[in-house]
Amino acid sequence: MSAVKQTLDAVRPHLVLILSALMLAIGIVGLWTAYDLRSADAAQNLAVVDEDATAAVQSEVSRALVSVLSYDYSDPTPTEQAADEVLAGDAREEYDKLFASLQERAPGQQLVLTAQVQVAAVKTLTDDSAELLVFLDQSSQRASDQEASVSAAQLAVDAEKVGGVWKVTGLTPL
Amino acid sequence: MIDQVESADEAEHDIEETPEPPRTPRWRRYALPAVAAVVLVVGVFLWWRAATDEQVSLAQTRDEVLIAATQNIETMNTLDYREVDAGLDAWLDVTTGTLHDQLAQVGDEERQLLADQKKISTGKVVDAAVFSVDEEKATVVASVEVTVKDDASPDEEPTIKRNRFTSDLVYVDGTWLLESLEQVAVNIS
Repeated sequence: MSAVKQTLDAVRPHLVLILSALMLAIGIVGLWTAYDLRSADAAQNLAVVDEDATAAVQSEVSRALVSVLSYDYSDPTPTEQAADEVLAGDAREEYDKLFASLQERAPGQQLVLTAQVQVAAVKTLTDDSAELLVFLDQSSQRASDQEASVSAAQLAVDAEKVGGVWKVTGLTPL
Repeated sequence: MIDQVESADEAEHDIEETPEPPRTPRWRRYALPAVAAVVLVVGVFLWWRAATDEQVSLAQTRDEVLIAATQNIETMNTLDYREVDAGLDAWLDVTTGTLHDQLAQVGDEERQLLADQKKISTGKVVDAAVFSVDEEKATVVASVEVTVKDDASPDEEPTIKRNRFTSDLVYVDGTWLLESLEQVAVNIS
């Protein structure tokens, strides 16, 4: 009798057990690998790959930035209202300081600020938080001395979804 | 003959090993294999689903693009007047298409000019994001800090500029190369 046969005979009573263990092992490796693939940092980040969600955060954050970074000395109310609606957290606190200083000098200078987003790209995106890189142009016109200037800004923007609406919570000029 | 011998041998073997077969209830004998089979099927199915999920693989591609674009854009913003040839070779290595062709046409005169300017430029990507991506093409935006040291006037502090770039990348032979690199100009009236 061959050695193979002997081994087979020894194994046969435990065959079901061995096969079961094998199936369990492969199944568990599969489950673990699937979990590993889906929980990787890349897969957790929905930026760009979820087109609809990416487009939504791009347009909402762009609109938010334009509304709070545009300003007319003769009617500052829309800007102030926009800040209430679209800013939260740290961005809100910092903006309030900026806005206060703007309110002080704007009427004397007859200042008008106009903002326009060139590019808003999403770095990271989950269901309720996002990080964006935004290129924004801002022109400022002072009617008092006919001065006009244009600036090119690069902003790192943090956003959070609160009650179904994206709000800007962080605004860092780069 | 052989069969008989074998079965006899087997019978003897059975008697030796299991004098009394265990009388486990039928359901308990099938429970383990059944559970194992279910785990196998579910595990392999979920594995296959995750491995072939386009969103998962596109997310990986996106992150690879960002890493490649960051390095390549830094390379394109870096040049040392003492090593113009090496610098231009590095530019050629990270570009493709028309951009690559344009750089390949930089002649001796222009190289000499770059050497005479005595400038050392160092590019650093401060922040970057993938704007769009598929398996072959991508667009990336980047905020780049360029430090320029002027060796013609060594006492002066280096100048630092912040530039906004947009760049198209193409997947060529296993690497992402820049097909275009343009500054995002101010465009507001």
